[in-house]
Amino acid sequence: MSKFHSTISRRDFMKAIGVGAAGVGAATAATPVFRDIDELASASSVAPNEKRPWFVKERDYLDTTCEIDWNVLKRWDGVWDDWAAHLSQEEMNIRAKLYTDRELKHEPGFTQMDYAMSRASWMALSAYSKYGTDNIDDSIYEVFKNDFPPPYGYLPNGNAFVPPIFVSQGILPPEVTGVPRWQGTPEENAAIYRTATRISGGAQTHFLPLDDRTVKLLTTNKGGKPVVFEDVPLPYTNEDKCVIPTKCKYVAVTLITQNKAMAKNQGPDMAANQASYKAYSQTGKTTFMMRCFMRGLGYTIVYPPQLNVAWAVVSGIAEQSRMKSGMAPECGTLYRKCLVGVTDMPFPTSMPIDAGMMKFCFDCGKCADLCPSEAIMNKEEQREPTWEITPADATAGNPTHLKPELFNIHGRKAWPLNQFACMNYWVEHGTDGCGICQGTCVFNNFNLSSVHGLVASVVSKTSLLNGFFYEADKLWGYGNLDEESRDEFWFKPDKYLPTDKYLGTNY
Amino acid sequence: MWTTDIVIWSLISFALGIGITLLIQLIRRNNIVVRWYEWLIGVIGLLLLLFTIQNFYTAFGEFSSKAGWIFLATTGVASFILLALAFQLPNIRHRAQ
Repeated sequence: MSKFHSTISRRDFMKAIGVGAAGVGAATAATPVFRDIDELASASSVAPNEKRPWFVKERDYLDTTCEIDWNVLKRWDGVWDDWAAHLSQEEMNIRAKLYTDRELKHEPGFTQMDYAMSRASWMALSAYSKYGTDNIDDSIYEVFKNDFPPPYGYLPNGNAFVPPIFVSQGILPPEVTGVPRWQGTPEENAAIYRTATRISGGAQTHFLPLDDRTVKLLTTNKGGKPVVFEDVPLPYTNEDKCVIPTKCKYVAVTLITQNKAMAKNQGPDMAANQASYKAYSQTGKTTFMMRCFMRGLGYTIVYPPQLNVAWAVVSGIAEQSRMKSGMAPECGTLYRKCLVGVTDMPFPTSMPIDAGMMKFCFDCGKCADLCPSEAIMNKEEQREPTWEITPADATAGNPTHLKPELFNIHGRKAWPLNQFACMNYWVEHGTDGCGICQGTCVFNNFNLSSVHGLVASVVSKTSLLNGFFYEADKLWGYGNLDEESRDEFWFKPDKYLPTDKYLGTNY
Repeated sequence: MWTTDIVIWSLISFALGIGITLLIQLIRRNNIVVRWYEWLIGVIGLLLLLFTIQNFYTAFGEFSSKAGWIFLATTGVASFILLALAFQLPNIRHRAQ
């Protein structure tokens, strides 16, 4: 055979084409579609725990990777202050002025558009709160109930006069429609609730019973009034107390995610704030829709004040992180909060998870390295979690008189966050938030590159490579958007916030 | 259906299918002996190359261009070294015979 020219028979050529075509078929088959009915059925989960990545392990009830001493943990009174209570009036006056002055400078990340959108992102939450989403009462029904009972669209004389859609809006519970209240098994209820929260803009949902331990994760007070339980049909608030019916023995914990590109938009500045506030507004919308939905099904649900990170960890939505927030396998710490709905709809009980993420924080500390306010404990000063809270003599942020019990609680083994130092940084630098920690956490990626899944699956099995992965993440440069985003973000929406080809949205 | 991902991986699969078929035919036609560890080096090199390609172009989609280039310089170079070894070891032995 010639050294420079290789002849191939027609048979061999067609065979090669066939093998190549088989490869195309394999590539198509590798795309994430359902291969059979069993896979389709299991994806619409009725199980207590959502379907998580394969490397996530479940633990026993209340056996979280973040140790909790249920004998020490007490219901928090809900009194929170991460700035004013730690400063003299003189210092408050000086620092507050820094915030106001910055708006006049019009710097990158502090443009007119950034200020306007940061404030607009908050507004939806304010609107929903105005109509009672956070109230411990039935006021949402009182405001939004439908005043036209069925049959819809009919005058008293029996003549139809409008399409029913025009008068069948608003909340219509079973006692009005005559349709029997939905009754399902706990597993069916779990699936229904999950479907409803996803329609309403939420993500994963897990469930817990409200027992003598989990009740400690609710606050004792709301708006200066005690939150108590009584045997009543509906929740109510009067001048003395906020009352949750004792029939509300089940808790649904729903994760509300953040837009990743917005969260990584070069915090701390007004641009990066918008991801948080947009997500807060989403919490308002999801809460509102779920309260209306459950009332329409014939069930009671309230969303009382609580320790939402603790609910996420105990229910298995997430693990505890060094930066104080929860870390979910699907999105890292890039979720804003969990909605905690206390209801009388029966649910199964979810279990805590172990994906090696909290253990990774022992040897990572990237968030602490980059924290400009020294609010997060770095691994040199505290490698492992501790039962201690922020010391009263901590100097980060230059407090006048630090009162850490106003933002830390006892009873859990974690890395205490100096919330005053964090909030004070925002004030002194003229932002409504920071978010460097969220933008740069090793687990907070877009998850397009396969290396992220590889790292997550390895850390779930062994901690031996955690230090290497931390160094590699820094070297590879993962974290916030590239520097050019500062000038481009408002002028290249297709690059940073592309709409979904089929759904037409970008959440 | 024809997203960037599917187009890229379809082309890669097509090329792999043709390439592997021709490689095996070449080995048989020339009676080249390939030992098991040389096959293993070749498979690892190929997987590392595919890993590099996937992480390179998705790094740009994640706004992490630096990560993409570092993948080329690290796992990409490593994959080429392994593939070169896998090709050259049997080739050298064959010429020596």
